Amino acid sequence: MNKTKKSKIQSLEGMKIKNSVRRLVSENPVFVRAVVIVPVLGAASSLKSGILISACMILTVLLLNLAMYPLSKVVPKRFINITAFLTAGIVVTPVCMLANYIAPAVAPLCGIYLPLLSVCALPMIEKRYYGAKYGIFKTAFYALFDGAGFAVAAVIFAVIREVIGNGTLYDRPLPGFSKFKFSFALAPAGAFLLLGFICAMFRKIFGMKEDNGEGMK
Amino acid sequence: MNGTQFWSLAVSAIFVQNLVLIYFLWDGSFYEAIKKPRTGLAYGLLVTAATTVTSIFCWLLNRFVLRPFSLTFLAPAAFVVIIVLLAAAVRFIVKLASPNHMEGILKILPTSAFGCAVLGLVLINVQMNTRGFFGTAFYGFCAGIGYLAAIFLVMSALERVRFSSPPSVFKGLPIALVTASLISLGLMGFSGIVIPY
Repeated sequence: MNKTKKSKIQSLEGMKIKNSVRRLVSENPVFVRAVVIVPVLGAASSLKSGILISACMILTVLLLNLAMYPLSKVVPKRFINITAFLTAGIVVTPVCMLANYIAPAVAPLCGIYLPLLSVCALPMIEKRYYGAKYGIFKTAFYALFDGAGFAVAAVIFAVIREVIGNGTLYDRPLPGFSKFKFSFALAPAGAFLLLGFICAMFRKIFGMKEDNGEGMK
Repeated sequence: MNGTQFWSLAVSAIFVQNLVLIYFLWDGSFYEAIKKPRTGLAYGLLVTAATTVTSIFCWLLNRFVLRPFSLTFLAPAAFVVIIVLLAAAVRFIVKLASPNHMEGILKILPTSAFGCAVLGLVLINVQMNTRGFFGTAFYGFCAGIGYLAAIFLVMSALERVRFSSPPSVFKGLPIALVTASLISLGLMGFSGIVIPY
């Protein structure tokens, strides 16, 4: 293999990893792009439900992107949004059934937010997947990392919320925390407040835009 | 249902179970809606219309097709199809009625119809299947009004935040979430009211 080809492959691999890590941190769909905060706020109230909603989201985003890949080449552009919405509704149905089968005790805790993943996953079919810019494997790879970005955020949020609000972790009482429950964290107002603080911390830790807040939208 | 029951249903839908501030049905398009009062009003009214009409059709589908034939596991897909069909019908009617003057509405129609609020409300209605036809339709209408109220509450609160100087890391989304938290805390005060539903 000559030098130029080798360096080209290396740079491509580097770009892939860089792009993937970007989806977890600087393009995080919850803490930075804020496109899928609904299931995090609604369903991630304990680690168990956080893990379940994360797994369902990864599966939904992956299936949705894979389904949209061939459809985007066939369906006219003006019908693409409707097609994506319909596909999301169809994709999320078996995902919900699977979640109810695998975790029958935890799935009801997620309530309406499990079927709502169909709408929430829509912003993760980015416009660039519609065209023929990426191959099917690359699309799947990036979809996986988009879902993983959501999972990271949901699990972090769920752990903090469960520890503060319930004094437990994975339904096991934590020494020191179980006596000082702050159940406000489990209420809707507490969820908004906690997510606001976590977003700000995330921003501070990773040194994101601090000038006008536009980077957070 | 009598007048008192309808009144309590309205209080419940607008305040106690507000779609945005209690059920968190707050998606990316909500951000667009709170930027300008005019857009917010148009968006809120469209969502109100969508929640009302979709509630009616989805109640009928659930009552006469999904439940009798034990097909409730297909509910998400079925409701999505209903929403798409209704959005297409509205688009067709608007284009027929006034093809030149309604372009603004046609632009925000997909984001309002395909947002979290409409599908979320329909799923809530199915979960609380005790309201009957008129109760469900009225609840859908009031939930849309609650969504509109939330748009203006958050918009006016953020307007005040704009003239203050929060820490730089809080600018943007974090301060919006903290503001929403305070409004939500205010609405939680209504949850002590006993509503027979």
